[in-house]
Amino acid sequence: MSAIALERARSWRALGWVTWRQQRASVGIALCLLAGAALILVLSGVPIHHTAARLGPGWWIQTRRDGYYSWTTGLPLLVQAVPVLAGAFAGAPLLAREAEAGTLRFAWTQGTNRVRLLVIRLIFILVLPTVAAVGVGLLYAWWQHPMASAGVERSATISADLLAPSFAAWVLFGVALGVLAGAAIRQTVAAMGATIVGYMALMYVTALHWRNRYLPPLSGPASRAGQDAVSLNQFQAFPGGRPLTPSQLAQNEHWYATHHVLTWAIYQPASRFWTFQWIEAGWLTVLTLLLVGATIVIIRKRAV
Amino acid sequence: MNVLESHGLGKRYRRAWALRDCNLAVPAGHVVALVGPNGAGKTTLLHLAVGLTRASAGDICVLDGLAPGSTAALDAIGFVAQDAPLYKNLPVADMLHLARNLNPGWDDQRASGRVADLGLPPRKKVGALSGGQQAQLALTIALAKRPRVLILDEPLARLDPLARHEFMSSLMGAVAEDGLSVLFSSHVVSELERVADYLIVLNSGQLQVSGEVDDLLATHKMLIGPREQATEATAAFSPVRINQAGAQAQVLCRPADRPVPAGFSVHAVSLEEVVLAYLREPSAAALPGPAMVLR
Repeated sequence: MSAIALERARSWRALGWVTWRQQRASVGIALCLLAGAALILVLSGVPIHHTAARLGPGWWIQTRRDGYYSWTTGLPLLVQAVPVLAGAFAGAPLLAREAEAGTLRFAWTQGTNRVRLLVIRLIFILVLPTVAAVGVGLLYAWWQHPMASAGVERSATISADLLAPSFAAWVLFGVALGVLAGAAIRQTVAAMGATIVGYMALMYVTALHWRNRYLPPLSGPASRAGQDAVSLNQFQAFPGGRPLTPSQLAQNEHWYATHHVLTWAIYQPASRFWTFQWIEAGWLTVLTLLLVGATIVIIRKRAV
Repeated sequence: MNVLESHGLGKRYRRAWALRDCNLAVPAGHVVALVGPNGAGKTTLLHLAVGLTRASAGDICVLDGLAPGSTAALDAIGFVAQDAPLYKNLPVADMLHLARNLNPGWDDQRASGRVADLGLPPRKKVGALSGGQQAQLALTIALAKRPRVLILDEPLARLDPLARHEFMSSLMGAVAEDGLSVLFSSHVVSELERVADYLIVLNSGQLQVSGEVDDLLATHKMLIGPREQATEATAAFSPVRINQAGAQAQVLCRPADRPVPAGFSVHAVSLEEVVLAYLREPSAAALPGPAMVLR
């Protein structure tokens, strides 16, 4: 190994120590949030699995009737909050707190380039929580398995953003958004607020408008779409898909039968589920890289 | 060699200019005091010199051509910002270890030696140290980089007189030991004469004075004489300030070798008197001609 390479390796290790010493609290917060989510999933998942094994495939209907497990539909909401909380509490303070305390004036005048300092911090604060988030996403797949095999409609219990690929990508995005907000706003509380607002806005638009349209939807008789398909629209139509006019809709059943009227669906087939997962993870990762780039530009240009 | 050079340097924050048209050539080997009232642009100038701020106009370089904020400049300059910011939640030992890992040229013996001399407890959190101890720790870190220039922003502002004295003596000890150049800002104008041998006066973002203390003291004199004749008699003496108190007028001016007007007596001035006279007369200036500002 050449002397320069040796020196470089030494300095990366040295910077690694610095970053770990300073960022361990923030990374710890993010990891605690994820651990809390994992704990919720394990504690609730074990009895669900137990009940499902005992009662067989009809467990969901049976327990539903008795009012058990109705809370399971609310549970994903708690886990869904993890990425935005990680962004607000671990990402946003990364630069904002130092700007407020005035310590950027120390950090940026030592013998280490400020961009290098930022990059190594980002590696810590982005990679560790994201790896943990993959674990939570896998745990969620285990958690919702009894519901899926009981034939519960996917949209009822499965939040697509909680499975491994997209959940990890949302954590990545949340933290990177927090760091950028901290760099741009330089006040911890304001940066936390901006992170929460920005994250919720993107989350909302994604869930409502984008997530089910990553590929053009298929159309066909509803009976052929399959139980796990995500239905975007359904209407009464002639065989071939032409919708009934309002006056035709008012016809009697005999008219319906003679014209072979059926329910037509615009849908995303269940087979696309994982493709969509990776598409969502993909564009979120690209967006994260853009946020990191913007943060670096701000850090290079900005005065203290 | 010049430790700091600037040409037409200016910095604008939103609408207002914090520093304007600043031409400086500060030679190496001096302890330079940068003096001016609050809001004069001292911190702006120092931040420009260490790369924490970028110039809106003109250019600035340190140590003969290094760009402020470049790795070479960062390595060569030890900077202590105003209020000596350090990581208050870290113990002293960790703070030192952190600084060591950030600075390739770190002199560990020097750092630990100074910390031991100062009696700073390594396990104590930085935030729990007194203001004087924090300032000393920040100076220790800046010196342990083995810099060629030390830049200190208001190092004395928050220190009590005893801590001030101790800080200055350890600074002067380091200067004697290493022969490094020092540039420090201060709005305290007393005591300057003991430590500084080069003076820069900034006022409202404008450079007023830049020169060696000995030269300034040699060229500036106080003429004292009858009040009625003061303005007229000293007009040719580049008067900086005419202070008319009672029947006598005190005129701080640069008489050069001209004969003293009748009825006036000549007195030597202290650095403090020179500084105060300039600060009270923002339009006066004592700057080297353009020829002395070398590229």
